[in-house]
Amino acid sequence: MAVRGWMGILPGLLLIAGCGSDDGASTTPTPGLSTPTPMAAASATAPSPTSIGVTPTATQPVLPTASVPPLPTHTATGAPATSTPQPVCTITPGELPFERTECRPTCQHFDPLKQPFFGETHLHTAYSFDASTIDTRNLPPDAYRYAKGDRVGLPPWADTRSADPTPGSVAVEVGPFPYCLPGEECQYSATRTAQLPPGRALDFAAVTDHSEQFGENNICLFEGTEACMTDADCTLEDQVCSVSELGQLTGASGFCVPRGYGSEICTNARLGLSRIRTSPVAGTIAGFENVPENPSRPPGICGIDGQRCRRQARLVWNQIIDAAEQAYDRTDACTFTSFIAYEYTAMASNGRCSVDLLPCWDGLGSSAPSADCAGFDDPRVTQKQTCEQNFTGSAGGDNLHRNIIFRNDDVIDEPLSNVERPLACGVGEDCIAQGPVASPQDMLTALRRSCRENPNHPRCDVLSIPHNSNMSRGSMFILPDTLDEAQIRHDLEPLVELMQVKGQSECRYSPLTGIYWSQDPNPPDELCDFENMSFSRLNGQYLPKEQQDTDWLPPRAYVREALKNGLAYEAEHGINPFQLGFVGGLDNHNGTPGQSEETDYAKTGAHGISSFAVSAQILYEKDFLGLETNGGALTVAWAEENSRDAIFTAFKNRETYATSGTRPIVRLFGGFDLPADICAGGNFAARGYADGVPMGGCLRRHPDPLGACKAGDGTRAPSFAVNAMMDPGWPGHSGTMLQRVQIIKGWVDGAGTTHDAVYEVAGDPDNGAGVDLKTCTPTGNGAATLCGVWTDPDFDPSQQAFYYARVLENPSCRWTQYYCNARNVDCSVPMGTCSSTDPSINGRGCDAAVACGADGVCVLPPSYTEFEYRQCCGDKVPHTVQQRAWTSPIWYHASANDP
Amino acid sequence: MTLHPRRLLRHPVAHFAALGALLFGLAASRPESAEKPAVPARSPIVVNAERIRAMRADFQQRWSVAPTPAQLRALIEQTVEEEILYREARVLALDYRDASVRRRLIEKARAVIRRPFRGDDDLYQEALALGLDDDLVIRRLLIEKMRLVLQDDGADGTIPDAAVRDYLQRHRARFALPETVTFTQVFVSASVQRDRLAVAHAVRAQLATDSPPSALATRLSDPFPLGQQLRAYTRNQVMARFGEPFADQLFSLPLGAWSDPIASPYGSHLVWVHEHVAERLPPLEAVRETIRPAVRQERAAENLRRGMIRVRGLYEIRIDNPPGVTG
Repeated sequence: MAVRGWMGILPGLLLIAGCGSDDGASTTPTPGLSTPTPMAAASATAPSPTSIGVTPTATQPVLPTASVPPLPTHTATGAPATSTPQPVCTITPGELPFERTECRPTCQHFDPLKQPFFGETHLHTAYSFDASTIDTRNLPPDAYRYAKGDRVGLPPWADTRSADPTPGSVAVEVGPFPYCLPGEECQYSATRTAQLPPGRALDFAAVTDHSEQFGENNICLFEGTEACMTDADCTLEDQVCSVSELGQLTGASGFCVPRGYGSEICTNARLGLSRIRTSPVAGTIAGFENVPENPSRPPGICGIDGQRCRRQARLVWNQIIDAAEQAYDRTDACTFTSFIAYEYTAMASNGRCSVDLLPCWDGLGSSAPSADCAGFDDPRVTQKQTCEQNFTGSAGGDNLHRNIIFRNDDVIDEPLSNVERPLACGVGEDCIAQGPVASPQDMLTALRRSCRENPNHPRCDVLSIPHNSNMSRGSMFILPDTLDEAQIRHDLEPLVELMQVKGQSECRYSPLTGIYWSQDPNPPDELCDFENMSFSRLNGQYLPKEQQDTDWLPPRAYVREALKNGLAYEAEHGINPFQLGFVGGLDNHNGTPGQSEETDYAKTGAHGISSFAVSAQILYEKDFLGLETNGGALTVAWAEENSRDAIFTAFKNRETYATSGTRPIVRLFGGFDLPADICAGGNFAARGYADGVPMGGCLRRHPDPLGACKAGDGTRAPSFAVNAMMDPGWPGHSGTMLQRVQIIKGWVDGAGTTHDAVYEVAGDPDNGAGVDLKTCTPTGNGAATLCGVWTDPDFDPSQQAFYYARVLENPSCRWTQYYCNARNVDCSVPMGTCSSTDPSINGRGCDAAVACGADGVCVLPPSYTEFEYRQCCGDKVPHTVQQRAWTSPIWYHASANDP
Repeated sequence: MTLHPRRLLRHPVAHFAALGALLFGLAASRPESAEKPAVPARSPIVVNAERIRAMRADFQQRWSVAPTPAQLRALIEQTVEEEILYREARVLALDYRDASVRRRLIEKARAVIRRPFRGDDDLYQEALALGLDDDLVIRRLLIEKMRLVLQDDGADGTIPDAAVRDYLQRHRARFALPETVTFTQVFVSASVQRDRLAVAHAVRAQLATDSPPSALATRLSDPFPLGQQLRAYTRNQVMARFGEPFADQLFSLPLGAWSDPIASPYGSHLVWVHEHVAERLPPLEAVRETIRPAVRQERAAENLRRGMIRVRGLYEIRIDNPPGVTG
């Protein structure tokens, strides 16, 4: 933050130059960047645990009760309403609607009827190896600063000095990746910056770096700050002296780096960075570590037993914890909530069984029967399945990634990455994590044991959010083999990330046939043609046409199918393994949480130096249909206040919704007794909570012994009430009006067959609204607010069902259109003008050189290239998009069993 | 990292610091007299042209550019400061029985003296005899240690609330809690009411007697996802939810009265402000633990600054005037 890295050697000078100085942060102790005393250095490897910071007192605060508290009486402007009560650590259960697990005052804005908080649940910084190797330098403190509305830098960096950083005298354990903003002077100066629009600061954020390579990343890309001549000069554990080749010749000093820095893989990682500013090494290491079968750490970096990397990983984990602690607002103003988190990055690269296409490991690629495939042990099955190497679909990797988010600062000692806890790889001989292929049971059990059930961490609570199931080739949502697995998934995975920069995972859509593409005979849902990460084109690999319409991309890769399969499983076994509420995230690798606006995304992309925005591959199909599909999504949590406990409780209760990046506000209630006139009057939410359940809740056919769900009379159909308001935009950028509200119902019939249907609830699908592509201003009609009540006309009380709302905005400009406009591409005029010696041709508009005669050339304006013009004005790049929000479903339990 | 006071007291450095402060205090309390032979002789610190040339060359090699005059001045200043700190540490014998120095010397002796089975004590003595303590790491250790000595003012490290309050006042912008408004609204939806402004005025008339807001306000309102009662909204939040013009008007409304219709992107709003809290500083308890280390850091920096001036006065400093550098 204040002074980082090499600047230590010239403190006075560089602070005058303003490099990296940061008002207000200058007195904040910067984690890991302090100067441990040399004598203390050896023992300084473990930062002191974060304290809660408030001393318990006997004073009881005035705590809101579950009913609406009286509003304050008139208070003179300028004076605080009351003196803030002393926060206490002991809170009697029942006083708050959620459990308080940390010491903090109740928020001033506490509202029992809840309010929407916008946040980020999926974001990478330079602690992720794949982010640092695309030259991202933002770290979690930078990410939080961005989330709160400050400006941060993006690559490429103007390297204003030679590559060799000046060794200073500040020993650090974790690479600090310092940079400064344009106009300031330091080694790495940002050439691009990013900042959220006014008023769009986030309410909360979780930074989720890839836990597998915490240590490797720190070892390979460490930027030394401490001068040395020999290894003995380096006082921190696991650090050695690295002298450059030039330094060895000239006798110049080197700097202290972690042991393993000089390994071949690390050297290659840095060479890649210095030459083309990107490096493929992250992928190479992932090939060791993110796989299910015997994942291992490269000994060259991590030592024979891998322990060196684990030690380093713990240092990074402590930095992540410290950054979150620093960012969290513990006053009763409750302006910002941070969550300690990481990403569990299992990337299975499974084979597929030859007949049922379920994932397998055993006998991968051979012609022998695979023990992982159904029928292997069954003597009645004569045609045994083989395990086939099938890398079509999603580039060969089955993304089985999960974001692991902790409730408070009582967290596990080190992240449980895929190396420590791989997903199950089947039953084959080489398989160490046995169990159904791709099952997360072992990992989730370990997580529960080390957190929720760990007496050393009595306040620890955690949940796991699967994401990008659209890239899992169906492996994410395979039905569990055991009730234990179903139960732990039900308990620890209440949410799924429905959308992010790599596309939506709501519903499958076939680009070939142009239809929604379910496993059931369902009516078409054309709205699934929305920000699809093209499975057919990832990494430039094109799926053969005949396979685009087959089960190579199983329907269960999409959440709507998983929800339906969960219902069917529950109808049979009494527990729903996929009772998933919705969140949205970015999965941005720039360290800029919540940067989902199309206007911003058009400028920066999501992947550091390899983004379309800075690469030569501008608008290349691989990019716009590949990794960089869209600006990413947001999570909205309905909570009483903006604190960790309140928002985490919203997560657990699934009282969340996802947006495709804009900020409409949506409420959904379901129930058997919702008043028909709930949309008349100002107390929509009060009546919704009183007579129904909110999004994420449940309804039951019969009264619920636990009282968690609202019960009906066994015959009446449930009603659903939706109230939505458009994104108001920000000064100078109006939001887009709403078009309509839909309810999507999924159910399972008596024969166990699943179905889904889409119902129109409010608004007008044919309102004729459009957008002026040149200015991106909306045209036509729309609704600023919508309210509607819908009663299921096809309700069968004996059928399990779920209902979620989808709220659609009118069309607006997609990021690609903002990109094209920024380059002054005007598709209504020819691409260029002829330059020719023939005066009758010279100056004429042209779309190709041939139009300009034998000696003429077609000259383009300097603002765009031919490729950009053709992409912007062709039919491959979408011009508009219909932004939307999806509420978590409300479930209807038809069985007598407990949910 | 900030050391906790108790940890600090247990820390070996603290013992040295205390010892150093004691010695220093003794030295300082003595009347300044050049004749006193007990004061250790301090030879002048000289940064000659050759040294400056070397600094330049080093800088050039590292950064591929020559240092600017300001950079060179900073380099010279740093060199002088470190030399003073190192020499003062020697004067105070801060290396005496220092575990880190000892470990370093033993390691070095082991590398130099290739005789096995020597005890650590022997190696240590031999290293000292060989002058191995003129060493980059030991130098750095001692400089850091001397800085700690200077940072310590002998106080017990407790930070009284008065100091915390003072710091809070001086860093108001960083800690201030934002201005907030708590209000009740009656919403007239542009999507529901065709002539929303006329409706809004009619509703306003009906509300004339509704003081304070009651069930009537609930009945007259169209549904709004954020509800009718909005608590402790900051200006930023109001702007984010209702737009900037709405925020401007809301924050200038008087308390305890129904407003005229205020427009938002959603329609018209009649607003009753219950409470308007100005920007304010948080209570001490909420920030005490954040601020205390910062105050400690601030004090240490101030002590160090004063200490440096003091020890600097003990030396004659001669800096050759390199070309391009004045003063």
